[in-house]
Amino acid sequence: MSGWILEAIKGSSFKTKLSAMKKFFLEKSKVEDLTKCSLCPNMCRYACPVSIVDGKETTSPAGKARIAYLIKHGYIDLTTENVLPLYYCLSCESCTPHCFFQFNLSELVRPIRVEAIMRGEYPKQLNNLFDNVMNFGCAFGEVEKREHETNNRGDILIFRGCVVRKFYPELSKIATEVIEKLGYKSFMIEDEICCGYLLYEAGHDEYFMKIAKRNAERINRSGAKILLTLSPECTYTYRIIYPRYKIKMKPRVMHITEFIKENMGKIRFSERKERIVIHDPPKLTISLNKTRILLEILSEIPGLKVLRPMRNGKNTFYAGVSNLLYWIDKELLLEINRERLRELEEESNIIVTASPSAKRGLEIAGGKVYDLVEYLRDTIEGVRD
Amino acid sequence: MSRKKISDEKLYKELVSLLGPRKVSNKLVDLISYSHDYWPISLLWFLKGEIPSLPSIVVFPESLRDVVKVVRYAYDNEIPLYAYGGGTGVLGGAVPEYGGIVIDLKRLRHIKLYEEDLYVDVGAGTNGMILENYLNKKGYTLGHFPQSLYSSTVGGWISTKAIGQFSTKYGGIEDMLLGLEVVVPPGEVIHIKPNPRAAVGPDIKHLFIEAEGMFGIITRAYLKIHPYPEKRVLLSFASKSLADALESVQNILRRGAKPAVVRIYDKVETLKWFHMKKKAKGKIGTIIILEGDNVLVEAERKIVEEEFRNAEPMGEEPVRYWLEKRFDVRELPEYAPLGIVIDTIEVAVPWSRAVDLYNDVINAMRDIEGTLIAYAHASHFYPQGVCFYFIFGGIPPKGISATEYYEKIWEAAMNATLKHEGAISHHHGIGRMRAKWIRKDLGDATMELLRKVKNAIDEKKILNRGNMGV
Repeated sequence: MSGWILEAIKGSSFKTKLSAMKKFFLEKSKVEDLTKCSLCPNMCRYACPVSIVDGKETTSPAGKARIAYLIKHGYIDLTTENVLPLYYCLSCESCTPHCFFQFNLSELVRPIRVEAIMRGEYPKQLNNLFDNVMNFGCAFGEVEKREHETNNRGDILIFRGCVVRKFYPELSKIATEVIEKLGYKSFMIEDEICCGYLLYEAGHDEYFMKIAKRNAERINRSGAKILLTLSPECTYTYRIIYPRYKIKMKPRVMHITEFIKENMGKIRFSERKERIVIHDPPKLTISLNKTRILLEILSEIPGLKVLRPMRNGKNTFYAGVSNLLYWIDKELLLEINRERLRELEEESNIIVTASPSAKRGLEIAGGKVYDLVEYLRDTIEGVRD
Repeated sequence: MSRKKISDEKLYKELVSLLGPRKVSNKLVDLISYSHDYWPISLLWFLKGEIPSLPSIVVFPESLRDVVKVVRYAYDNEIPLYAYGGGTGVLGGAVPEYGGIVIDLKRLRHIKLYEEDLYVDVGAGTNGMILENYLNKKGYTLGHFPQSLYSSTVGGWISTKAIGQFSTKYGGIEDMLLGLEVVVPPGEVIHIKPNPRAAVGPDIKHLFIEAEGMFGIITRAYLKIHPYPEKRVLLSFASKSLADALESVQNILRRGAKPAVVRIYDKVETLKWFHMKKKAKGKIGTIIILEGDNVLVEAERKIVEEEFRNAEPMGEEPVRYWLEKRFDVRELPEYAPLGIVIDTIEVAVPWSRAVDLYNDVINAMRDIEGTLIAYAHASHFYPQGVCFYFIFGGIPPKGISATEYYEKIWEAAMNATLKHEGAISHHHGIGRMRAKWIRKDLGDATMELLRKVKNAIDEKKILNRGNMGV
């Protein structure tokens, strides 16, 4: 209880004061975060892409918390229809920086998603996701094997992620070249499977654990010292989610931007005279707290004018396909990606990001987007002696 | 005034055929989501799983045409129609008391800037913070910062006559509104052009300000904007008494200075906002923000410092603290689950009766058994008077329900305000909570005129039926 409140309640009756003390000191700490979130006037709504584009109270952050609260306390039934709004979340954590409690809405409502899976009351569109991961090891379905995928060993293991393997297989080769220009050898594994990020978000703990254990065993066995991910979602999963389940990764987990940033001092860039706009992926700038990393890397390129859209850094706006909405409501997701694309194109038509998922989302919306490694491939001349 | 017999199933089918399936919902979770706004007592009901009033259906128009179709349909079938924006109203004004259709306007969110003419054309459902961020990026500000900024919408601001924290310079929403577009029964579009001023008959746009969706559905607005301030100055003072602080501000305004923000805290609230300033304890804290053109701001600073010459300057720190915390509304989410009833009551009064009204309202609230805290600040200022913002919190004593305690507090505050001929609302509006006192404030003749206007525009009473007791 703040000091000023103690002063403020001095004028109240002894009985009321006593009752207040009891509530403050014995009951306040027991109030659940979900309850608090459901009683908020949606102060993070403006930052939530789903809420802004969908425009519904039910899919606003506090709206989802309210539905979760009513289900949790048995005021409405846990049915597939009632639980559906809880999957209208990109897990981008755009809500968190704007919450005075710093809540992550996706995490608050996830226990209901877990319960829904256990009871079989989840949206059945997700079966497609579950089947893809279990049958093909990729959230987006079957992937072709590529010649450049190797089983070589080395210090740096590039983890491509589902989006790269399915939609942009060439990105892994480009990443290899960039890393080589920086003076390192890297390798990939042929039998790479999904990190399990979307299974976790969907609340399918059983499948997630199965995948996570298999992944950890395979990657740890590779002998790599660095696990270099191209997708921030994968970095987040290995770095933040796996430890929650006591799954230990032996290699140091790094996102490609972090690796490049660490090597910035020795990179020689060629001049590039153009104006680009960057799309900050929220998983990188919010969840992994690398607020300015993309800007910092690109700002080192001589001659380059790096622009940021209205929503950037911790206030960025989601774009991408690695989210539950991809399976639940593709039409809404397309609108979200379009909204972001319009905002980016107001600044420049040359868009650079550091997320294959964002690249995919924005390209489906009609844009042309460079992943950071694509943009750097021709810009990095080499390293200083 | 009963609604034509039409089943919920038929209603759903017909609205889907008019708008398409993505713009209509009759799912339970959606109906629940639109059963309330941010009326604090309804949140206490929510915690117990009690729902104030369910609509039959919710629609999500994406264009003016969609809104026209919905209004026409509701009118033809005599179905109550409730407009919904950000749902941050605190008086139950958006509760669909008689069921029917809720029309959520948040998909109407275009923003078009007219830099030469210094105004913005904006969809009624546009989120406040998104609008302000957009303007800032382009080098402008709206100057409208209600505490609900991050969540509320432009249409909601107009419908409740909202005001922001920087009002003493920029005014309330009524001062910013140049023109608007509204759909009225039976489905006609009223368009008021964005001219700097017009003497073309009565100013019809005022009919829709603080009408709380009872006269029409606002779909777009033209709002004045300002170049982003070149300079900002933060000042704070500790005065000996509330009367002294009020007098200082009154004199500042009389001299023509227009600070953007002025907030005078009573002794209790000064403890909160000036907690880092030991010297402020037992005094009346005032924070002031001046902003705008450098030359004007420096002139205003001089006036402010002269008028607060008998108070102790407290520096920038309390103002910075306020700037950091001004949107932090954690009290209700933290304390409501403990059974503590919390709410705010804002009223307006001329200078001559300001101190007396403050004392009477505070004492009346403190006299109610169970009241834990009751304090206030003055937050909006005019050459003629001031708005007081009262905050109370209490624990209903045994045998008294939360609702009963809540009503007692309101009764005490409203009666004390009416005793001093104050306005029972300064910017939250009337809704369902204040309906009981509107006639006492307006008087019988004005109330009857209001009824006649309502009947002339909406003779079937489809729009926000039951609100304000009209």
